[in-house]
Amino acid sequence: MTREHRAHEPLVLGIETSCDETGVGIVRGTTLLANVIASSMDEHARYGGVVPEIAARAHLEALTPTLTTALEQADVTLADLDAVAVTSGPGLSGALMVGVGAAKALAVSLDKPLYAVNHLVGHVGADVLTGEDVEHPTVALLVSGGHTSLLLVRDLVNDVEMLGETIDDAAGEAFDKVARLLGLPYPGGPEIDRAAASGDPTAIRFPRGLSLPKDMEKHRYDFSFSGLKTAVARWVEQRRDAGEEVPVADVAASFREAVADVLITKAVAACRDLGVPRLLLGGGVVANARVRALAEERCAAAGIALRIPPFSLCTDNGAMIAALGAQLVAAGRPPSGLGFGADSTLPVTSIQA
Amino acid sequence: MLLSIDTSAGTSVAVVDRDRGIIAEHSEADTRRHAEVIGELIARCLTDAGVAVTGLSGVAVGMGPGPFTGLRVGIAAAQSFALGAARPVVRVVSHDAIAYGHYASGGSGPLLVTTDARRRELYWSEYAGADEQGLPVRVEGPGLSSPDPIASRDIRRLDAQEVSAGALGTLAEAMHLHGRSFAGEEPLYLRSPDVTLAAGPKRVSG
Amino acid sequence: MTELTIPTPEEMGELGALIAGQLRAGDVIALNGELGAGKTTFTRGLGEALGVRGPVTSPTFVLARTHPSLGDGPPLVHVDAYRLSHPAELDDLDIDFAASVVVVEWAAGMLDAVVDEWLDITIRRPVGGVESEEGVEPRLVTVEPHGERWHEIRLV
Repeated sequence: MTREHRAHEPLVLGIETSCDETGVGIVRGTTLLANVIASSMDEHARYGGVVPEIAARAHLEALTPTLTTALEQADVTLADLDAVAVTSGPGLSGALMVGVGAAKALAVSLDKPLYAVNHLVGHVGADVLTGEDVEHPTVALLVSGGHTSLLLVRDLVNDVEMLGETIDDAAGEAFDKVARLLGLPYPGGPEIDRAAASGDPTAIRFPRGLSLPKDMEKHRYDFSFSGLKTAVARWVEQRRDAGEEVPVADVAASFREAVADVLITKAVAACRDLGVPRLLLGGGVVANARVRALAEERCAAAGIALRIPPFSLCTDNGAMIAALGAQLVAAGRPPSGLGFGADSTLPVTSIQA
Repeated sequence: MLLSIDTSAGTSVAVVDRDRGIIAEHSEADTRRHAEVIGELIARCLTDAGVAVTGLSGVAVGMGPGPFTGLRVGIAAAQSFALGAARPVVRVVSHDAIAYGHYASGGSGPLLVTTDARRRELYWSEYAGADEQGLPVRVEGPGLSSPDPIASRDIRRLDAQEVSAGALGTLAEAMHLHGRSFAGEEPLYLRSPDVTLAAGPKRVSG
Repeated sequence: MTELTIPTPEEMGELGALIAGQLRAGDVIALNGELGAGKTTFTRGLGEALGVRGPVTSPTFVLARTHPSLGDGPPLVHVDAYRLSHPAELDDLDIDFAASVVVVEWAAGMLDAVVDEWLDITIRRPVGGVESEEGVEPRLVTVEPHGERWHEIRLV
């Protein structure tokens, strides 16, 4: 692309505060200029999960410095921007409100259009920043602490469909809970991954949620981790009650295998059923070595092109929000106005609020 | 000229000027719609005042005390508006605006200002009166209390349901004029996040 | 106090729907039961019957989710108090109890300081052993009203 052409692509700043990361990103079209993240994760660690009030306070403290750093990194000024984008949901209400309030005031002060966007579609939007050609339709598997969603993306700004999602706990949450059960710290994902490295994934056959023939009618693309979590808890409790030592590595490896297996099995099935030869992974789970390996193995076998954006674009960040905002601007969408609110359960079909 | 924002109770936004007083003010009393209404209230005040962002000299914001969720929206908005406008933020204790309004409209002498803190508690601040410039002299608070000790106090009491951004902004102008120091950067939540370490995983087997 | 036996998850959802039909803004339901007992299934049935935007999933990670009404009814606020150890932490979530129907999972000991009246629903499952993937064991549901509001509640 020529320099002149790039100059006409929209310069968009994105603000993300839906969970425990304060993210500000700046993009020009599909070019990433800045992606700055301040995380309060360490403050939540001792409580075994995100504490909404702590997250929201941290957002307020971090937001202005994060904005300033992102502008410096991108080497642009606020006056240069074509639009501001902000996550309006889904997520933690109190946390979302900090970003929404700040983004509205920023947009008014700059007299720039404001786009309220969907956090989950933002995760899909991150893919346009990888510098490679992004083809649609694609199936997207988004897995993080708070989400487990399988999407069919026919068009990033027009047509995103929820194929399935967790009917109880998110996968990341199951990692947190099982880690806690095994006496491992929060967040559970990396800890289980580490413990599992020396374990036998076939040691214990934990259940694969919603994978039985009867489930495949109503819940073909849905996930359930509650039964798995309970099965692990019961297995561990029975060993402890019997005075036996719990084989942490084997439990971790077997649990991780059960999660990875069901995630990738359903994602690959969706690609096959729908005739979509593309799968995008997003969310913090891409850090999980087993999930990545299994996805690579099964996608290769099924002739599915697998895309995994860099980790910094997979976890919650402002760049993906800016990227989706830029796509909306480029598609000629009208801005969201100033009347929207934070929406903790915003459905994925609402790409823009 | 200042843009003034307070979300310690409902959402209140104003444009004020040292000479002209409150030029525009719009408020929403609902204490759960801060994030929804803040942008429109700011835009409407600027339009009604007929002032460009470049015509403002700063942003005044109420730092509370107030319930966390709403209070944060106003502070976040004030900070990012100031960043966008390249103007400074001046921070004011929200109760001071209530007391200032009281003295400016003819009140005098000791005053106890209270606002709702939820959980059957009150935020309070105590004032000795107004000084020579008409600025409230806060002698204690802001603090957090159950209603009983406050009810037993023998002092004129002002239970406020709303905080006017107009009053807050004019107070900020007066404080600036008389060289007074503003409030600090910490929001006046007056409560820590209520979180305690859990006792460990809960059993699933009987 | 009323005790019911609920044979299947479908009927657990129907119980939620039956109760939903009698709810109004300001109502609070405390939902107790072990992991996997059927609390989310109950709440999903309740949410569908209330006509709120779904899907209802576990709010454990975010602690609270607001499902707006698709009509003109009250929203459903779905809370998971699993990670909370003090009622003040519930209050920190800044839930609009007065304008919403609130369902609190793992609510034991959490509500006294926050609301005056609520309906206690406890779901028990057979204990011991691992529930098979196919097998569905019946649940024992105990319903206990706290406060005048709940004296007229119909459960069948």
